[in-house]
Amino acid sequence: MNGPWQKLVGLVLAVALVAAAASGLWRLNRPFPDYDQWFVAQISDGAMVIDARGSLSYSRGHIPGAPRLWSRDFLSYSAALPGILKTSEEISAILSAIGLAPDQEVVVYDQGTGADAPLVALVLTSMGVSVRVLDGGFDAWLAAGGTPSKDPVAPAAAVSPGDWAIEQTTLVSTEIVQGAQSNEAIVLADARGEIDFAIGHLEMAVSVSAGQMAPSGALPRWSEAAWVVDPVGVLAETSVMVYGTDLAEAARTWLSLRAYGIDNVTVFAGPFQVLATAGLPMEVPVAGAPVRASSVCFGAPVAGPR
Amino acid sequence: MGGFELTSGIAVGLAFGYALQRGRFCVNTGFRDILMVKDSTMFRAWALAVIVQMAGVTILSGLDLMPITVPPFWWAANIAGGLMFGVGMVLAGGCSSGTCYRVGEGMAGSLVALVGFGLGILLADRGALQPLQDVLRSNIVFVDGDQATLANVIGINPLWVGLAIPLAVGIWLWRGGVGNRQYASGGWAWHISGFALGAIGIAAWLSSSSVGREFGLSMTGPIRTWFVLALSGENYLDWGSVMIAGLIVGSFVAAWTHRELRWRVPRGSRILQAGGGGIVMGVGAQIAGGCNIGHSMTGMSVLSLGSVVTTTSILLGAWMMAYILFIRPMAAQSA
Repeated sequence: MNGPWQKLVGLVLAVALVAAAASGLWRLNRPFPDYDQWFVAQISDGAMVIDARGSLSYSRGHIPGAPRLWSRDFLSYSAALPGILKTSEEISAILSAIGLAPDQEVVVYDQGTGADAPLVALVLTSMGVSVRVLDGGFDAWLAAGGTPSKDPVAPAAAVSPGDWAIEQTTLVSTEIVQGAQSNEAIVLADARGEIDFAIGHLEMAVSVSAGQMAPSGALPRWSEAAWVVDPVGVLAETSVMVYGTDLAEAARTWLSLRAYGIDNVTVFAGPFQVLATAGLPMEVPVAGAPVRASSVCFGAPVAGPR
Repeated sequence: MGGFELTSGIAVGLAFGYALQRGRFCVNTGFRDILMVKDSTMFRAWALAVIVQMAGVTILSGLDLMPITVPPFWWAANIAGGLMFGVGMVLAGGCSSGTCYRVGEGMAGSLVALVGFGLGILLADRGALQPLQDVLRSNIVFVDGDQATLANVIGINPLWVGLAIPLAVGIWLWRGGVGNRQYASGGWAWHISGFALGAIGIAAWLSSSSVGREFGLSMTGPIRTWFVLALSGENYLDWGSVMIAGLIVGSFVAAWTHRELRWRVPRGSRILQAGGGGIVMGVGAQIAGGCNIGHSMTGMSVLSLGSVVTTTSILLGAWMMAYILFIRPMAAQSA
């Protein structure tokens, strides 16, 4: 027969076990620390709603009152430089044309895939606008009972382009990326897929792929994001510089990192191709090098790439 | 390593070690006794632990509350490694978890077996037997490009399979009666230890996954981590590593509080056999990608084909060695 103190030991262990399980369940399913700062579940009063989708999707139905601002309108395309961000002056003109003022709060949405809204959120943030993304996008809004409108919205210009006198710090140039390669204080994050990363990436870069940080446009489980960013040395106070196959992909990683609670995240204002052709030092990992630090019981543990 | 990773790993390990010691839970005993003394008591405890964990994990992942990882199905490695592990654990006198909890009880033979187990793991993971491991693991099987699980083979929702199996096995266990067979005076009955270990397995999945290690209880990887740290200085300590430390302490606490803590040193030949068995067991566990815990409890709970094959191979290896080591000599003696 067990004595009272033997029962006490058993009880303490049982309580510790239940606490570990319950807190594990909570941690697994908790939202990102800064989720509320970057996402909204519903359209709030007072915020200007912007539709970031293409013209066809917009014409089929959009949230009433939302002007269209396609994410690709911010980019200029040419054979030599595909998908380069337009100048601040050009962006100011675009924003003024849809009736946006610098002090306005914005909620932006896309279909729910993350293809457009993160890029618009990135550019607006870089211009000093307070912006949040509608979680789940247009599809979630429809599913929640929203009644779409097919009427085009043509708002009057609220301010002139000259009023957007913003010092650009979020979006960076090729030269700044090159400088980051020799700056130990900055983590250079490659937002492309893991296969692209394995084929070749910028020297000193680590893989923080948009596919893992924002699969199908939605945020992953908190622990899965931690599994991506923790092994590569990204902490809340770390300075991170992101680049991607294109700016939209980099924007997805940027938004996820911001919602994850990392405040200092900058983004290269163009596609990876520009960096690759500019002669920045590249690194080609050893063929077959593992990309995840898995050591559960199946195989050898592997260090992160940096 | 974060604070939660450390504390939750230790908490689960303490409870795991405590339950193993109180239940005298050892898969070697469970598998061997079916053949040798026609007694399935410990086997039933193992079966109950598996189905409790299977039902819990199925519900949690079915509700999308927890991600899961399915051990890979490298059939050659699963069969060869499982057979070796089964042979090794009979020689060593305990499976990986049984060996660890007996270390906490003060059994010197188990300590030697544990050292052998760690060295065997390193031998296959990064030593002379690494080429053998690589060859055996070279053929990974997927089911229609997806993970090799029982549910994917049958082609139905894992939720149904993961609940139907526990129901069927639960009915079998229920019809067999609870009984009150204990392996030592004062130890838990099989149904108590089976249920407790299943619940600990679920807690392990939750707390371990929440720190990015999407798996439940395991022994091979965590023990490998400690030996790599000790021998090469490479530090990959994680949730699993601290869980193992907690296991041994938990077993120590259980033995100590129940006055079962005793330093016991077997004779020299037995120590040699334990060490040799430990090495064979470690090589087998490393090649198979897991042992009687990683495969036979945690992997089974996610319906992994690799775990089913490994567990079957462990059973066959254990029976084969038990026949050679115990049954045949006894038959020869009585004849």
